[in-house]
Amino acid sequence: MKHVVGWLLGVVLGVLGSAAAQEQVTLRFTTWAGGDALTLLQNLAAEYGKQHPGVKVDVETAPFGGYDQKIAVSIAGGNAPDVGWVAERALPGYLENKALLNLRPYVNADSQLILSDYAPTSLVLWSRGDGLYGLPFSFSPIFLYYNKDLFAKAGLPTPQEYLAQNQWNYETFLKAAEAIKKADPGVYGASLFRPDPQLWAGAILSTMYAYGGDVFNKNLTACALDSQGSVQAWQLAQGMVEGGVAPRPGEQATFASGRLGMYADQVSYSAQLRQVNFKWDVAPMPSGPAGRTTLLGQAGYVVFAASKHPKEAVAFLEYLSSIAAMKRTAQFFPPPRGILLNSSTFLNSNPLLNPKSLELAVNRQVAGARTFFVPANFAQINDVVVRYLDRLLRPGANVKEELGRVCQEVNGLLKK
Amino acid sequence: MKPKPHPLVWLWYAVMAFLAIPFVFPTLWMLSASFKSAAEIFASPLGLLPHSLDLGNFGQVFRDYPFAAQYYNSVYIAVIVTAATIVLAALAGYGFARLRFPGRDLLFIACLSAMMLPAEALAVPQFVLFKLGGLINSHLPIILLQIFGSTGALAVFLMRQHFLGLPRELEEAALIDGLNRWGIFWRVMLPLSKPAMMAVGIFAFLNSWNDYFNPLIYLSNPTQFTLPLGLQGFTDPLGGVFWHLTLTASSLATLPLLLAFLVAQRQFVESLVSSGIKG
Repeated sequence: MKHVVGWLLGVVLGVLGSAAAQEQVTLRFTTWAGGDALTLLQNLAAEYGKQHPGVKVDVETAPFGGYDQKIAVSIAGGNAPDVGWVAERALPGYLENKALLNLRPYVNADSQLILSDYAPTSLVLWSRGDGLYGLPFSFSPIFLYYNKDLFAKAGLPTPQEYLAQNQWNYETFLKAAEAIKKADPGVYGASLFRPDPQLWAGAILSTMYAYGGDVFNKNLTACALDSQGSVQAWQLAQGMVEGGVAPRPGEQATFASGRLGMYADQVSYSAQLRQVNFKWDVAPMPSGPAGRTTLLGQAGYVVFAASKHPKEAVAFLEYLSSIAAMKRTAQFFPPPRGILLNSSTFLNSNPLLNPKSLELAVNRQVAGARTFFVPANFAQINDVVVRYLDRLLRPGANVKEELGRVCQEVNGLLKK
Repeated sequence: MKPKPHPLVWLWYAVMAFLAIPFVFPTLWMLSASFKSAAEIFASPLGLLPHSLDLGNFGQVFRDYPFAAQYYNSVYIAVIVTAATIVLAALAGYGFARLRFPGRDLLFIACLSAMMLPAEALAVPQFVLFKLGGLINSHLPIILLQIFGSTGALAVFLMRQHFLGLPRELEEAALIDGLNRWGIFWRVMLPLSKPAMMAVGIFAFLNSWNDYFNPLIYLSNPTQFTLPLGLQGFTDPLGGVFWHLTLTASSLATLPLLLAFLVAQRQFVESLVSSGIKG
């Protein structure tokens, strides 16, 4: 009898034991990263799985262009990922659909994650009321890449030298661009736009901020593209195209080809400059009448509200946001945690950029940089501006009137 | 004796060659860009001759990215889709054209409705179905949605129209000679349908080869991707495109199709003409 009881007990314990072992949690982490950045995230996920035997993290990826569409279908189809990346401009859409988990209660309970590490402005985008719906991992200002060879050819001081003399503003910027064009008619002096017109909202925003303009008013209830500062910034851009100093919108005169004197983008663009045969460096954006304010690009980690394992998902998000993990992602994404941003780890993270220039272009600009807040239907508003881009920048355009028309359409969309 | 060509023929060729430039140039440009470095591509945008025949891009595409796996996925999925679509469309098309059974027309309309609804409207319900079947992150949804989706429906429609156009007398003669329904289909009708099946095959292959939306929704791992998704992966960490790699990969993805078309050009054109499908 004793024998049988012992045997039964053994079976029961065995079953319980295997049930416990089966309680393995699989988290799905979604990103649009590719190449080296994807490999890094996969390594981080694998290491996390080793440190936490009950948890396995699968990394899923989709190209940037289809990323939000894919996630929307996954959420609607009841198959939402647990953790993932969200870009700043897609964030309002996710928030409006209540697709993201409020991290605040979890973060408050965790002594490891110190929110005061983050620059206060870095969390505004991710907060609604008391709620916190994401933690930024990339805090990437727009700055200026410049072709040193073209500056030398034009016999000009470089932007860094202008900066040292306290003369780096939009006047010297325009003069330099014109001189570069004059010295070599086969190149362009500068561009305030990325080659893809869909991504127009980059450097031109920095210029608008520097002239005191903006895209929307503070509450995102009205278009401000026709305000005085915005009009001045666009007039500068239009004048550059008209004078042949800047390429027309959509023209593929890329900085990497060596045919562009100055070009504004983020740190990640440096990956495109690995094999170029000219010398280049970086500098902050020029200052304007309203000061030196550049655009700050952000992307963050979020937990999706439909996650079945919110606790484990938040724990993984906190791991990705830890100092140890961010030290490793810093080579691609300037870290939003102040301790790291100003550390030698970050300044030495990018083999293509020297620490001194990186400090000038990124660290010194971050404090005054501005995040671009958008309404939930920004994709539609973006389409309106893209449609007007040719008309705004064509020779002889009346920029003020055209921007007035843009605002009429944008205001119609904002009321919806 | 060969007839002497008309003297104006050469002028005619010259005009045709000139008019072909807008169609040929982008492809040639893409091919030449695969041999250029990132910096060289836009340095002289109109230049077709690369400075040197550098194969570095090709090496990098295969070494640093799972491009070979993506290529294999695209090929095997397209082959299955093409074969299955031809079989399904021939059988169903013949059934709708020649067999009489209750509800035939209603069924046919239901089949056509698959062609009318936009993919975006169907995305969520289809996704839910495949999730119930545990098929997310596999190639099965992509294959099934091509065969039984709008491509398959159009193929059935084309085959039905083709069979309707064949003379009934042929079948009646075969019937008198003692063939049953299957025999008529297999021995009489199918041999007459090669051009139509070829057209359906080309159509199914191209649609599968170019499918972007379904792989985007159902696949999440670069080694599982098909080419249209894979081609979007040659970017820096925040999505900036590496043009030299993207164009090299695009050339590799386009070339086999182009070669296949050149080799079998006559059959392709004939089959399209006889089936009445254009472009």
